[in-house]
Amino acid sequence: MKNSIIITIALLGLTTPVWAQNINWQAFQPEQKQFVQIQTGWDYGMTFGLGYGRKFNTKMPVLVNIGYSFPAGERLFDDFKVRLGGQVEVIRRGGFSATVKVYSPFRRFENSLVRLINFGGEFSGVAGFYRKHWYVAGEFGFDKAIATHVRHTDLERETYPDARDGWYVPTGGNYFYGLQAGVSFGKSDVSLKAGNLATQGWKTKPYVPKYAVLEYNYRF
Amino acid sequence: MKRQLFSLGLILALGSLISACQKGEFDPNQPGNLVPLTVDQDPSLPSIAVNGTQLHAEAFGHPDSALLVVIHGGPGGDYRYLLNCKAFADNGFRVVFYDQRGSGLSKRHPKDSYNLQVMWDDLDAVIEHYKTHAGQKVFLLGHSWGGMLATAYINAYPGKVDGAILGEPGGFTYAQMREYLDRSHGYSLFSETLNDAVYLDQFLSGRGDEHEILDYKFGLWASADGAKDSPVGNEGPLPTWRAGAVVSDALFSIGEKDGFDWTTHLDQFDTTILFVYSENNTAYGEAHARKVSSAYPNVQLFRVDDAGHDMLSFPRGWANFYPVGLAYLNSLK
Repeated sequence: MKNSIIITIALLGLTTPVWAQNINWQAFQPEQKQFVQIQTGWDYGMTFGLGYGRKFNTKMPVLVNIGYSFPAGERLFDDFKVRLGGQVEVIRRGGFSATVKVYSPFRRFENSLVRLINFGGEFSGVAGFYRKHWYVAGEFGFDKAIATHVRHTDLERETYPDARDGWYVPTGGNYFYGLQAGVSFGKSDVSLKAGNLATQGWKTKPYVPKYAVLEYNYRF
Repeated sequence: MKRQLFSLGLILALGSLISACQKGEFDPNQPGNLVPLTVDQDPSLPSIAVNGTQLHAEAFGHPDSALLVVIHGGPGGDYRYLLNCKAFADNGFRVVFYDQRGSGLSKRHPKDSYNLQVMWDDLDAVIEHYKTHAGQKVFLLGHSWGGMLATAYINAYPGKVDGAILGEPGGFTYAQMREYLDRSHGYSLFSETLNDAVYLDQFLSGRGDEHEILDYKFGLWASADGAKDSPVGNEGPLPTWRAGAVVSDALFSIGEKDGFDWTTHLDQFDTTILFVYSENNTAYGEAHARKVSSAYPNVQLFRVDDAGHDMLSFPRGWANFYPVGLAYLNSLK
């Protein structure tokens, strides 16, 4: 089991050194190879984020990206998510385009009872119709919580003194599916994606089983 | 150069993970790792076998004294936070505590086996288990969801109960409960409490009957009631053994789907009930207390000052409640 985790994470990192987001491939001009990005919306909480990415003009276009996001609250830095990964445009037929995204989130959570650190794997596909100044697409993906380190506080130990600190493998996963659309003008892209979440096995749901994220990209 | 730096960073990250994993790797669904064992897994725990299940239960006081059955909240809580009620055993009552089916340290069952009828059948079975003689009086003390369950039982069997203390039951109809829940979970979109509760969903999740990880997550989520910005006004987190996520989800789903109205036969219960609400729970208040309690013909309404929703658990609330609760029970004993 331990080896499988390590291999999975290694594959996530080494074979796909990129991180994904909403991209209109056709809006990129030949001289534009980088972008910065800000985002806000509901992503397991009211979140804010920023990121940086770089596009490679290989035979199949590849986009490399890293991003950081955090939820609102009085303590802004106790919970966060860093995503490392990317996306590859695997099909383009006229205005139709399909993109595969693979990235590995690193997440942290803390409250009065516990601190969690998680390495995950997120796999998704996006397909839709793209023009130079707009696009609309559907997406489907799976976000796996591969390994989570749990450290309990003294307060939690009052509830259960024998709770075991350490790595828990795996700790679940959620499907996500929805729509996204965007417009491009000059060096800018604005996009919105929204959809539903369902827990692995489709028997339970997250507390708020929705996501909706607004993004702005500046290409240069 | 950039690729080399990236690879170096990745190797360092993987090295940290490998090193950490070597110190121990646990299955979140192995009983005992994140949550304590239940009575069917640990024979040393006090339990009773009733109505086709095994419940974590214990009783204090003389077996022949009037029964006071304490019913915890949730659904999905446990009786640890109500142990102050043991004090009634020193005053001539047989105080019975039990964790409801699928909650606390009681046995877990598949989600589709839970329904409202089985919950009050369990309560009926608990009463019968501890009764030692036909004339033994039976009192119920239900807090929050426990007060709703007590009322559902009284509505079904008005002649089986000799009195009841109800602490801030959400409502006796689905509409009343929904109204209260909307107010009691009214957190700001930008609050730490709300975002802590929902952010967890990407770290921990479980399939329908993976009780251990689901109970653990539910326990972390439920700790929001102890937050400073919670409308329910508690002084801090509640003492608890283990949450019951699956039974909670099952009963809420049934309530949302079918609704409920447990007031239809309450007019047949003419004994005065003691209905208590707290000063600091801004989501409840006197208006909701009067609305909910009005389904009973005779009500003694009492506000517990200097306390929140869990007024029976924290020292100031308990000190203010206990003399009133004891006087009420003694008047009917």
